[in-house]
Amino acid sequence: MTNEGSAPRRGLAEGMARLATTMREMVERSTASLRAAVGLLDGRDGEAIRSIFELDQALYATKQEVVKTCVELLALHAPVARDLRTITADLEIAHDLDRVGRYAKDIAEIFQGLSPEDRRAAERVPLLRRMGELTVRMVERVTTALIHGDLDSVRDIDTADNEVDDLHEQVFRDLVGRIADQSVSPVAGAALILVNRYFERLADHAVNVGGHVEYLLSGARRHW
Amino acid sequence: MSDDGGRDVEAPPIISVRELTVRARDRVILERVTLDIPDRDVTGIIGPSGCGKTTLIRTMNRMAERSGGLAISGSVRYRGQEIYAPEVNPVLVRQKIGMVFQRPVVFPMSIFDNVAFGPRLNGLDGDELEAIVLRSLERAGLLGEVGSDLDRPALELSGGQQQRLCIARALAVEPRVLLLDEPTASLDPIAAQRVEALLFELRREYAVVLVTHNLQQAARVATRTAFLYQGRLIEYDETKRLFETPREKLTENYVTGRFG
Repeated sequence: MTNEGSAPRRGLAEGMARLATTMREMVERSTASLRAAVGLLDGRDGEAIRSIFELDQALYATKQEVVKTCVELLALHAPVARDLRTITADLEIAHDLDRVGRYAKDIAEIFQGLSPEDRRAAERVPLLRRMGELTVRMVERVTTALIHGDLDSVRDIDTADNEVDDLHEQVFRDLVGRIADQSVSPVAGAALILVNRYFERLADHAVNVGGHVEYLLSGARRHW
Repeated sequence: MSDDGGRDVEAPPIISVRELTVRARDRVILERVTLDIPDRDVTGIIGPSGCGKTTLIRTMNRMAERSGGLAISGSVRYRGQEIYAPEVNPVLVRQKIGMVFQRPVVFPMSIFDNVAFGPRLNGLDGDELEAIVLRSLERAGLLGEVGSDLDRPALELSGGQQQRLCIARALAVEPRVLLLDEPTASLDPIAAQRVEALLFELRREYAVVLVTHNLQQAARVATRTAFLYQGRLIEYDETKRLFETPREKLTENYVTGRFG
């Protein structure tokens, strides 16, 4: 029943395998980039910032590769059923993972522009660090689900996102207070408000990926 | 198996097959197949060679029994009437439920006489006959191509035109259902495309049942598609559902080319 199929179908199988490999690369690069960005809150910089920039470029190239492979598969093999769902879901997920890399890069750029003292301001806002960790965990959870075909771990991703949204509010108020009482400089405060916002957006991308993984595995669309 | 398929669930099916089993001497060709064919739409039937799809449509107009040696049980109803009831004349069944085969079967006579063949048997002639021939050729998308020269030998037509001539001949006896058994299998891609476009048009007026090996053809043309495997109906659903999110693993494996 699961023979290797005819020669043309082998072309489809090979293309699908290539797509899976490229998607794994995107997952590795995007999560590595995001982890490095969260590490900047602990005062890691220099090397970390450089690696985030490099990962962003590599991610973009990998995303282009995903798009190319998907277009080729659609044009040549008229894929259906799970193959079709994988291709359309991967196209969307590749976009989200590329955005993960872009937000990590945005965070790196913010830290790159801060004075050494302002960079350390982040250490005084532990909830921001928690935001970052939650976001990393969400992205890891949905991408692991993608690679291992695990539907259960994406089903309640919205709950994690709600937690991030609540934290986003708290951190925002905290930072506004700190700017007002001058316990962080206005520059550091404004920068960290942006970082806080990026983490919140990153969590939204994780939710998107979760939805695409759910569609890929079950055929059910969340918002259709 | 969802049965609404986004269609008007109130519209009665034109053909209802229930628990249809067809046995040859040494094997079961179809086993307890149940499905409804909607009116004014294209229904696709797919499945690997030998799955019983041709036999299934041949039971829908009592062509199967002509092969001999087949034991047919279960029920096939056309507009609610059992076509296998003893009082039913199979010739009348075939008039209402026409069939077009894989290779165009063109009679060695003129284009006109090919299309007029059935209506003449029904006693039509004169202007009435001419009108129905022209109307059938028009519906089959052939009139514009053959023009006024209907006395030309039909065998001079191209393969694609011959197939559409066969469709015109089937339409000339004013059927309600057209059964097509791999109608484009022997045609080049352009001729096949014309036949597909024609099926798309015909569904406004007829129920069309299309047996095809070409999965993409079913995907393009059929609103609903049935997947048969080893004589059993595995899945019958909206075509877009069958090709995007099939419910059955067997269907998934077949449509993705993992067997067959």
